[in-house]
Parts: sequence; structure tokens; C-alpha cells
Amino acid sequence: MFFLQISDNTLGIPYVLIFGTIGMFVMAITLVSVVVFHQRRVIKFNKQLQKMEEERQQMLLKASIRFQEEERQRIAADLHDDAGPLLATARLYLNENLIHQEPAVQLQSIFSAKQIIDDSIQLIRNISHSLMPPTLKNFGLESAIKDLFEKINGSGVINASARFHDNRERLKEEQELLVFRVTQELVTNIIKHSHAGFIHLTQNVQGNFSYFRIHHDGKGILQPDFEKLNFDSSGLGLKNIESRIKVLKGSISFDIDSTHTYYKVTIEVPRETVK
Amino acid sequence: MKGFDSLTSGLQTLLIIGMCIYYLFFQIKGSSNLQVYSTSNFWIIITFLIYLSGTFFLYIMAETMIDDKTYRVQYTYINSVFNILKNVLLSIAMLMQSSQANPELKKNYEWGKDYNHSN
Repeated sequence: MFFLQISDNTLGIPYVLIFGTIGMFVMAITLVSVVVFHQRRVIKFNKQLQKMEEERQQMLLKASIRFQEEERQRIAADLHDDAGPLLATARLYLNENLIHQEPAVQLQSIFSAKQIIDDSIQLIRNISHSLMPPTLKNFGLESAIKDLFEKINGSGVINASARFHDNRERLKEEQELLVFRVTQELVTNIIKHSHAGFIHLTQNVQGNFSYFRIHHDGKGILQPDFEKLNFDSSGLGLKNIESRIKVLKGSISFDIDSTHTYYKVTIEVPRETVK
Repeated sequence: MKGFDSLTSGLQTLLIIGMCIYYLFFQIKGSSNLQVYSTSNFWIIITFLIYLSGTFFLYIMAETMIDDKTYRVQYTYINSVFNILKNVLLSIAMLMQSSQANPELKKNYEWGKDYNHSN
């Protein structure tokens, strides 16, 4: 300012004033335009993100509905194809003509019908167990997971083990069921696709979070693969895992250890313990 | 116009311009989904920014140049142009304010906003 006040007589007032004013005006307009355009771009970007998130939610919702339908169809098929014929056969043994038969034949028929009814009871029990494992309901997540791993171990193909470091307080029943289902799905995927020799699950608690980590030595997937498969594939497994994790308000991560020997899947679940 | 204090006037202008830039910087930093030009604050700020940027050189030269005839003519023109611009921008700011306060007008205003978004 001091410089301008001294030099304006020598430089000529019209030029300094006009160019100075135009310069300042252009600068102000440029500044405002930059702010407006930048903000428009940010808003556009935010909207795109929002749209992508909505699409993702929609996809998860569709996957969960499809999964429910498939589950219903499976139960319907089990009941129709297995329980239905068994009960129909039992009915045949116990038809009206039975009273006109010899006592020995009657006894034989009743015995056969009893056997078939026992089979039906077992079958219905199996269906019910596949819907809600009784170990989980009665003894909690630790027992249910250990039971699952023992069954896998029993096959002799994979060495499976589970270790719970801090399970003094049980999670809420719904949380336990969701964690169990996610673990079940992950283990099934590992058995099906990774050709692993062992699976090991560890559980830990840190602050308000429970951590479940599954290690295996097969061919696993990493986080980008999970996201890609989850988005691209038509399979329901990974989508179900993600939607269950969302319900749990937790997170899941897929990585590999530093020696590139073991793949790790970590599930983080905020703890809601039973009071 | 004798006794016009260009130094304080210039400093005051720079200070206000600085504050306007600070406001705009925060508009860039914020992640609000509201269009910045749909708020009256933004129009008030750009009124200050444009008017003070335009008249900055006019005021810092006023103290020494007031006796110059050419300067007086230019002063009249430049000051009038920026004054008109300032009044127009402030009117827009006030229209924004009233359309946000009046629900009926707000409806039209929001419709306009959607229309703008869809384009």
C-alpha cells in the first residue's frame, strides 16, 4: 500500500487503479468459482458413494431373502421327501386290515411301524438340529464350535481345533447364533475350496470386543478377493457372512501372516453379554 | 475527501477478505451435502469479498490521489459499479433468507434445488 501511494504519480494512476481493480476482482471470482466447483464435485462424489452403498445394501437384502427361500425349500424338501414317505409307510403297516391279520403278522407290522416312526422322529430331530444346534442353545458358543470342530476332526481329513481364551461371559443368544453361523460358513468354505491340512480357531476378548480368528494352511482369500467375490459372484455364502457381520455391527478381515504360510480370518464382534 | 485514511481502510479490507477466504476454505473442507450457493451466508460472504476486492485499490490510493481529476472520474465509475454489484448480491442473499423462512417459498426453492440437481 505504501509503495502504491508513493509510486502512483510516476506509474500513472489509470493503469495501476484499473489493472489492480480488475486483478483483485478476477481473483475474487476465481476463488468463489473454485469453491463452488470443488463443492459440486464433492457432492457428486458423495452421492455416487451413497448410491453404491444403497446398491450394496439392496444386494445384501436380496441375498438374505434368497437364502431364506432356499432354506425353506430345503426344509420343505426334507419333510416332503424323507418324513412324508416314512410316515406314509408307517400308515400302510397300520392300515385297517391289520385287525383281520394273524397275531404274529400284527405284531410284526406294529414293530415295523414303530421302527419307521422312530426313524421319522430321528429325521425330524436332525432337521431341527440343522436349524438350531442344541449344543449352542444349551451350552453356548464355545461348546457348539468345539462340537463342530470335533465332528470335522472325526472325518480324519482335516485337523481342526478351537481354543477360547476368555469366555467367562457368554454373548447374547442372537450374537452367538450369528457368530456360529459365520464360523460354520467359513469353515465349510475352507474345507470345500482351500484344501487345508488344519483349521485352528482362537477366541479372545479385548475391551468391548470379542475376536474370533481362524487360521488355516490351505489356499485362502485376502480382503480384496473377499470384496470382489462378494460383489461379483452369484454365491450366497460370502454375502450371508457379510450380512450377518453387519447385523452383529462387527467386522471381518481376511489376511495372510507375514511368513505367507497361514491365511487368517478375523471376526470382530462388539460384546453384548447376557446380564 | 481530505483526511481519508487509506492505511486503516486497506488493512480493514485485507482483514475482511482474509476472513471471507477463511469461510470459503471451511466450505471446501466440510463434507456437507448442501450446495454452498443455496445458503444466504455464502452470498453475504461473496458480496463482501467481491466488493472489497474491487474497491481495495480505490481506497488505498484515495488518500494521496483525491486531488487528481482522472482518479475522481475513475473513483466514481468503479465505486458505482461495485456498489451496484454489492446491492444485487445482497438482494440475492436476502431473497435466499426469505425463501428459507417462508415455507411456501421454501417449497419452490427446494423444487428449484432438485431441478438444479437433476441437471
